[in-house]
Amino acid sequence: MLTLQEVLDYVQFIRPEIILLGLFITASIILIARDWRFLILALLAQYILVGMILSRLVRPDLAVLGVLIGAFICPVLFLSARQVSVSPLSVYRNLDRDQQRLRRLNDLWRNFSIVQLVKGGSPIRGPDPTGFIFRLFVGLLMILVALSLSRTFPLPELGPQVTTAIYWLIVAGLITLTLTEDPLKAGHGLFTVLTGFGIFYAIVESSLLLTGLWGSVNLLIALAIGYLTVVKGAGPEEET
Amino acid sequence: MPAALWLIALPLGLAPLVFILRRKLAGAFLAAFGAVFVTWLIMQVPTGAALNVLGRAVQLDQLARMILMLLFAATSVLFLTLALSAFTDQSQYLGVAHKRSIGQEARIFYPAALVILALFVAAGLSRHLGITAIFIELAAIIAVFVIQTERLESTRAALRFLVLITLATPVFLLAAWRIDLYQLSGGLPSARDLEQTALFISIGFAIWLAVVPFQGWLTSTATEASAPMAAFVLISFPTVAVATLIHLLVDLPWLVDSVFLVNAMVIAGIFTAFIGGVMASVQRGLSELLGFAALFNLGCIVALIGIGGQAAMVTVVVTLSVRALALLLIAASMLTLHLLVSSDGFVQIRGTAFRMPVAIVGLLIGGLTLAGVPLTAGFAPYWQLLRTVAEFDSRWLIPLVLGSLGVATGYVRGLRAAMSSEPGGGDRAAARSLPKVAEPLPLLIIIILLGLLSLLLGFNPSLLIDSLQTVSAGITFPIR
Repeated sequence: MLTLQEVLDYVQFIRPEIILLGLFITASIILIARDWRFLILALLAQYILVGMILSRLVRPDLAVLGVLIGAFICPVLFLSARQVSVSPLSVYRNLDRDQQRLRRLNDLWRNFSIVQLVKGGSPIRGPDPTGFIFRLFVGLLMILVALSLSRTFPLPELGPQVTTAIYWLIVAGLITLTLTEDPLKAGHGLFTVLTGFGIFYAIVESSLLLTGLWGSVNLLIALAIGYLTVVKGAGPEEET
Repeated sequence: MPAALWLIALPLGLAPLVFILRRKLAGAFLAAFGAVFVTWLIMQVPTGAALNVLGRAVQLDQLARMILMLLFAATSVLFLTLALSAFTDQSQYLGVAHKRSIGQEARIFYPAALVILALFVAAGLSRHLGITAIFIELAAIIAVFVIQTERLESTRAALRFLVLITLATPVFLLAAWRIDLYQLSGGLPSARDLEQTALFISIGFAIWLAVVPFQGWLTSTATEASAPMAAFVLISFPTVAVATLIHLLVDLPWLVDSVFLVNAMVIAGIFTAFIGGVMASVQRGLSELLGFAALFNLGCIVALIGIGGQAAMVTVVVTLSVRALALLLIAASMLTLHLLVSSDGFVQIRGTAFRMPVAIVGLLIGGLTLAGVPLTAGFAPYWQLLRTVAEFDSRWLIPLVLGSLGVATGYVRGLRAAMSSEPGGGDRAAARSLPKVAEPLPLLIIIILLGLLSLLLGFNPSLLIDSLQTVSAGITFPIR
């Protein structure tokens, strides 16, 4: 079995540019996609990539702690999202369980579409106020903003890739927050912002108490987001 | 254990008991008397340092004592109001379904509020900005459950509250990091570092204090949460934020060397008060009106802190106390009104003045107190604000006065709606369509007591000012 040190040594071979590209992809998915499965997977991948960055800059146990916190947050969000997404539609109500399962699989196979999976036509949530193309363009624009910020306001004692990653995560998260009122998606945007901040804070703050408290707060925020997700999913459609 | 830490332990220890008993009236009264007991205990605990955490003292000073007493006393009134509202005959009220939901909300509110208060005690005792910010963030997370309770129709208010308060916490952690760097270096910060720290602090407190454009959490909470829950959030969070700001400026007087910080507080406060007042004048519902009236009042407090001066501290603590009184009065009145009508839009409350005159008058007094209208408790601190602003820059009087007029206009419009009827009917036509019910006696008593207190303090403000002078006398406020 691999030890932690061996895993970290292996991770060191991954270039920072690759990790930055990965963060561009994960935060873009969070910004653009609507399907909750994609969102949670992207968030988990984001936490892992951030852990890889931190492993080069802080103590290994702090980097692993960051990944573990993300690994706990994602299941909380998953369970909440799953609870509201698995709601019986009226067409299935009169069927027994095996028939329901077969009917759902048939419908899924007939209607399968990558684009629809990313766009996420959820029966629980109404139509998105912003279109897919709009969010795509906003994402591209925010990449330019993040690159400009990292050149204009470089962060002290950090390389350009790390600086860009921090700015990108914060900007992408803020934009995600402004473009949605859905608790689950807003939660992803919020965690993206906090992840970007968390990279910088883990490097500059020497107090383990504060770092640990901040990690605990992230977990509790996930519980609150999960609660709001379930409440939103259980309620009627909200007027926008 | 240091005596001050009992103020954290007691509410935390009481919360599980209250949670277990939440479906019974005993839980409500236990929560209420527990809050009253802690209020008394705060008066007994000696001031001074209790612990040392991260190089900063954990201490109870006069300001923290006054703030915590205010919070616990206000919460105990809210607990009692909700508990006593359960002693009403449900069958005669139209809004029974609504009343049942109030009972369900209260069951979440009692234990959650105790935990939030315990966290506020921890935040109030701490003199490290980072630790304070984290405790307030924890309180905000629990407050999400108080704001949302068991409503299913919208999560907007709770989500906005959580997102905005959470976005402020990293900013405060960064500010705390900069402050710790300067403390360790032993010297004065450079101008650039000072401005950076001031920027972090400005953004953080702008969010906590609902300065425009970050006012969304305050106004949406007032609009969507039920009146007692909204009052709790609108009283507690801004009060703790104001206390934290004052502590920060007193402990780190070099911060006021930043002209940016001081000017930002003044301009932001006056602008927020103006926007709050103007928006209040055009609202069409009592809940929305409450949010913007509270925003106006908060803007006045921020402006007062920014201008500073000899009387600033006593005026701020008096304003906080009066604000709590007004919001409690409005909450009790709206709770009573919701027994009659399910919604508090101006159209829905037509004719209610003839069925529930005391509740409507209570609403009016509470609203005019927030506006700082003469003969109400809010007038004395508002007049002091105007005098202070006139000495600072008389041009800023105009937006403040317009804001006050806006809030007063909003509540007068509400009164007019409550006394009006459908077009083509007589003044009593709307009242005839409502059931013949009277205000429940327990709530009636609470509204009358709070209303009389507001009027008494309006006629004789020295009753409050003199008792709070000792609090402000011990504070060397650096902005002069």
